[in-house]
Amino acid sequence: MSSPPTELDSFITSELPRTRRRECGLGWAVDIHLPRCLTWAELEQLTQTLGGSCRRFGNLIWLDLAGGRITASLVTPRLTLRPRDPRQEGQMTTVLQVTLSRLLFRKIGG
Amino acid sequence: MLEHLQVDRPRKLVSFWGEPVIFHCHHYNLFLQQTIEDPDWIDGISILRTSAQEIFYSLLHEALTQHRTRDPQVGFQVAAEIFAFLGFGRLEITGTDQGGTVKLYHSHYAEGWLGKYGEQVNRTKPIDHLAVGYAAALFDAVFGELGHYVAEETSCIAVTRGEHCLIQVVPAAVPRRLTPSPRMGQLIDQPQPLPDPKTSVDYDAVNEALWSLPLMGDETGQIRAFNVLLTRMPANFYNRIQYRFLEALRQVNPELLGVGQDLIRESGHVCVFYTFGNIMESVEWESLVLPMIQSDTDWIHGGYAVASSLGWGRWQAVEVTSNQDCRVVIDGNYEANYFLASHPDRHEPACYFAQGAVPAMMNIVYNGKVADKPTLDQAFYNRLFQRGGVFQGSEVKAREKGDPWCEFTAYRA
Repeated sequence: MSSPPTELDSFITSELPRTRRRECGLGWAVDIHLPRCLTWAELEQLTQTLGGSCRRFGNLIWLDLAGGRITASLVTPRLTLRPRDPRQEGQMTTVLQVTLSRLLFRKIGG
Repeated sequence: MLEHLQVDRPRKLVSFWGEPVIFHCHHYNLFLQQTIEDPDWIDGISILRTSAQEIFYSLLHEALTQHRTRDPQVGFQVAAEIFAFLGFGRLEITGTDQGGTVKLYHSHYAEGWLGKYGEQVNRTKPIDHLAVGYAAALFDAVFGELGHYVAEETSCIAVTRGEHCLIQVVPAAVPRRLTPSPRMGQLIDQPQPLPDPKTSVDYDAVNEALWSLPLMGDETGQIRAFNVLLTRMPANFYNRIQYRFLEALRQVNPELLGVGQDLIRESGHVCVFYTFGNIMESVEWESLVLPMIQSDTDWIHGGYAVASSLGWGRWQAVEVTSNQDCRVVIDGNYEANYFLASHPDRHEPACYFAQGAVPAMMNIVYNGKVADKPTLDQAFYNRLFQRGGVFQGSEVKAREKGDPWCEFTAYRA
């Protein structure tokens, strides 16, 4: 008999709220709306998990990944993902979803 | 390339190989180009190409001189790196002193046009006039002198929707006498003491935060930031094309001059509406500027704090009355720096871009309600400006007529 879904399970399986919007030129951007702001340590951990580098400019953070850049903030609960190749967008958001869910769940869970 | 950017903090100007460079986005670039290109009674395309050749020659000549190279391959490489760094796309350059070929990938103008209009319109003529001028300038700088080469775009992705644009460069049959850039122009001696604005926005802090961002072309040669597609354009390209455009109209018929000035003002309006509208909806704004904002008038100040970080000069709102009017000082505007150096005998206010930009900032904040994050598209733009109560502006002081700074007001019509 399987155990009932945990809060983490439902966090992972429910889609992160996001807005896909046409940006200037031929690019697309995806805004991922978070339940709270991520901390600098969490963003560093996120970068480590995703395999990239991150740079901090005050409250503004750039996460440079092989597939594109994520613009993040310490003071606004939103990430903007700009994939280099639109075909990589699905894969990037899936990986992000799992990683973010773990980060957010652990914090929420105390 | 970042190490070659010089920030003049007191004047809030940025230079690159001795040329003032400023950020603008593709909405403005396309609108201004179309404004100049469209009238068939002037040779707008020639204005665009020639101005690009002149201004970029000055930049490239300086860059290659500093690199101390006479190797054409190194020259081509430097020219391609600069083009990508500035956000115009990626170049592949081949050739000799007898001419050559330039392939342009991810053209800012062509991809910008396709992104903005490509779904509704089929274009039949090439669009990369700046790149054509750049290609001629780079052969001038590598092999000869200013005006020794001419270029033509023979294939453009805005037309073909193919992989790259193609530009052919050949020696000019007769070298043309072209006018070099005035470089930094006539700068202000030192910043004027301005009244402290009543705002919680720290202009200098915003400047430093934005100047610290390594904004440069990515592997495609594009700069994507603040929700827009940016270019770091030599300011004197904008200056030269706008003043040459006005002069060409005046020569056709002096009565056209006012129409041309209105069109340049409209380009400033379009720029602020799209560029600042998008900036104010971006994570960058929410991270760097929004934490300082405590009132609606602070949105105006935040906008000018960003504007003064873009290399435009020292833009500062000195009075803002909520939803009513504002007074903005520009101490050392990039337009005035150029105009004073290039037209020392003329004394009329000539900051046409700024004349449009100042009321536009009030329109995007108070009429566009940018804080509510509207979708910034053509339909919204049209809806906003077809109704009454639109902000208009005027230039009430101008360095060109002897005032210590340029000053603008915006008020409801």
